[in-house]
Parts: sequence; C-alpha cells; structure tokens
Amino acid sequence: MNETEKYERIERYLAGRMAAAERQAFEEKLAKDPQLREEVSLHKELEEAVVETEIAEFETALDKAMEDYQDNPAHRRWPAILLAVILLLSLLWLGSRWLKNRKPAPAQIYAEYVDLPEALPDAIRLRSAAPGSDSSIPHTIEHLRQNWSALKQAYQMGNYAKALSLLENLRSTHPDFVEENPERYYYHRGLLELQLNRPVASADSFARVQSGNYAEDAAWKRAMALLLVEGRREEAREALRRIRNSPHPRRAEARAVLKILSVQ
Amino acid sequence: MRWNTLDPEDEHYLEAIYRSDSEILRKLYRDWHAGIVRHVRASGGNNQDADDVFQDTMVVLYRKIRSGNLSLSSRLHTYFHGIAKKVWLKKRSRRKRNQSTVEEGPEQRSEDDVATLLEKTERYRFFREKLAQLGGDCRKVLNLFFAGESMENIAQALGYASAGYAKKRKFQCKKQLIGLIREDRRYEELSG
Repeated sequence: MNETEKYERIERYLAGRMAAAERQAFEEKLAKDPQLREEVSLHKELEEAVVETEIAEFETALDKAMEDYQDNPAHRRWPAILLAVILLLSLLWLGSRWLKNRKPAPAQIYAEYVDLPEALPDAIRLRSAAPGSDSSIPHTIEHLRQNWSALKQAYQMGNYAKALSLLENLRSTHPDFVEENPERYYYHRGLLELQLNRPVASADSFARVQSGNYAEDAAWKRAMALLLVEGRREEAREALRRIRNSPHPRRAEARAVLKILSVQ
Repeated sequence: MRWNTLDPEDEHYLEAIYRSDSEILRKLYRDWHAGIVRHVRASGGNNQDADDVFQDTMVVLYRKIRSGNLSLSSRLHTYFHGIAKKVWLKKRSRRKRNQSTVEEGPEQRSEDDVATLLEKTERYRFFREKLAQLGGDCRKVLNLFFAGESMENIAQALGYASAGYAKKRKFQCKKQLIGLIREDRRYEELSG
C-alpha cells in the first residue's frame, strides 16, 4: 500500500465510509500497529484542529486583548510615573530638610551680616582743631584734610593697602589726631583691614574702639571678623552675646547669628 | 446559553467569554493575570510562562464554557486559578521531563479533563500554526477538504481542471503538512 492509498483509507475510515468488512480489517490492523494508530490519530486531530474555527477566533481575540492591555501606554507607564513621583517627592522632602538644616559657614554669615562702606565720609573733624587754640592748627588741619582726601580716594579706588598706609602715616604726621581721635583711627583701620581680608588685625583694631559714634559698629564688625578666625569663634560668640544682651541696634541680628551658630 | 454559577457577575463573565468580548477579556487579563504571574514565578517560572498559562487557561475555560455543561461550585475567579495551577503543573512537568529522562512522579501527573483540554489546545494550536506555514493554495485546499467539501467543489472553487487534480493536490498538501508537523520537535513534546 503506497502513501496515497494509506491516506485515502485513513480518510475513508475517519469519514465512516468503509464497508463493514473493510472497517473490521482496518481496526484489527490498527490494534496491532501503533504507527498506524498514531497516523490515524494525527489525521483525525488535524481535521478537528482546522474545523474548530471558534477556538482559533477566541485565541485571536484573547491575544489581541492581552496585547492591547500590555501596549496601553497608561498601563505600561503608570509604575514608572508613580516611581518618578515618589522619587521627586522624596527629593523635595530631602531638599527641604537639607535647606532647613543647612548650616551656613562662618564666611557665609559674615557675607550676609557685614556691609562694608563703598566710600569713607568726606568731613573730618578734630577736637583739637578748635579755632584759636594754636597758630599752626590751620596748616595742620589743611594737611590732614589733604591726607584724608587721598586716603578716601584710595579707598574708593579699592586700593585698600594704600589707604591703610596713608592712615598709618597719620600716626607720625598727625600724632595729635590719632591721640585725640583713637576711635576714629582704629575704626577706619579695622575697616581697611577687613577690606584687606585681615580679620585678626581688624578684630584687634575694632577692639580698641570702646566709645563714641563708632563703638557700636566696631563691636559688630569685630564679632563678625572673629567669626572668620578659626580658633577665635568662641570670642565671636561672646561678642555677639554682649551685643544681644545690650541695647545695641543689631541685637536682633546677633540673636539670629547665635542661633545659627548654636546648631553648628 | 446559561451556566450554573454562584454569582450573577460570573454568569456575565462566562457569557462575555463565550462571545469573545474584547473589553471583558482585557478586564479579566487585568484582574487575574497578576495572580497567575505570582503563582508561576513562585514556582520557578517567568513572565512569559505566566502569559502562556493565562492564555491556555482561558482557552481551557472557553472550551468548558462551549461544552455547555460548566457548573461552578466556587467563584469564577477561584475556578480559573484552579485551572491555571493545573495548567502550570502540566507544563512544568513536561518541561522537567524534556530536560531529563526521569519519569514523572504521580504528583506531577494531571490526568483530569484540564490536562486533556490543555493537551488538545496546545496540539491543535500547533497544527494550525503548521497549516499557516503552507502556501496559500495548499491552505485553501486543506481548509475546504477538512470542512467536508467534495473534490468537485474544491476543484471548482480553486479553478482546478478536475476533481482528480484536486484530490492529488489535497494529498500533496496534507503530506507536506504532516511532514512539517513531524519534523518539528514540539510534536513529540506535545504527544507526551
């Protein structure tokens, strides 16, 4: 029996078109021949697989439903969106905590709370310059004014080293001025030293300004200058406490700075 | 068609599955798929396995629905997961068997109707896939033949000169199809 005949016999058997005798003989052969049984079964199943179109259609519908769901951008993206939102909120929370707990460096406090003047005052008055007290005074005063003007110009030009040099010259050229106006001298000296980024010298200069119009500002600037000096921060705190506990115009700021320093 | 269910919602779902309602199929996939994924992954499978289990379970359920004698003694969701567990057990035991020559233990055998329906589902899908690999002419001949059309009608439908030629083509195409099936190693796997 060739293959064509075998196929035809199997198909006739499956279609129930065999005569009884042929059918019986075929079934006897089937019982003995597992290979033929497998062949018949395959033909039968092939037919069933092809004709059960409703299953194939259901599988297609199911495939599509699964693909639609998996391809739905909202469905695919929502875990990523949720994660991004959580991450963003976490960053915002951490950022706010960082900002809240941020401890500014002393240099930042200094920059925030110290305003150095852009120019020095024009007028310079001397207690010793009272009219009629000395015949040489007018000349002295004029010379002093010229020196002050040069110092003022150097300051305005940003040449603080020259300005400081001119100020120190006053000690030799006009010792009376320095002796009689120590607060003025040391205040401006402290100012120039601050401009020259010499906080130690500046603090020492400001420390000598104990009274007069410059005293309050000198006390503040001394405290700020000390903040810049590693190892003298406790002195700065002490100076700030004194300001805080006095009727000093910057006592509120002293309290604020002390608060900042207390968390450091 | 009506089914015996515990809950009207399940009746609605069965009706929708019977009609291949795409909206309900998407909803069921959304609601039930995650549970299948958990179960499959917990026992060594991956997401692809879970997708296969979900799909085959759904087809097994569909076959049961179409049989018309489905009677639920639990909620449909529970019933579905029960089938899914059996489907996964069957697939896993087949995989293990293919990986080694060790015989299945009795606990790995699942000889109930789910196993039968799953086997049928997988084998028939495989056959249809092979049929789709044939040329257009062969597919048409075999579709008409399996649909019960006579050789005369097939010859007429496909413009063949005679019923004899149609018969010859049918044989050639069927032989080609069976050849494709037999040379694919999945045929033996699915026969186990």
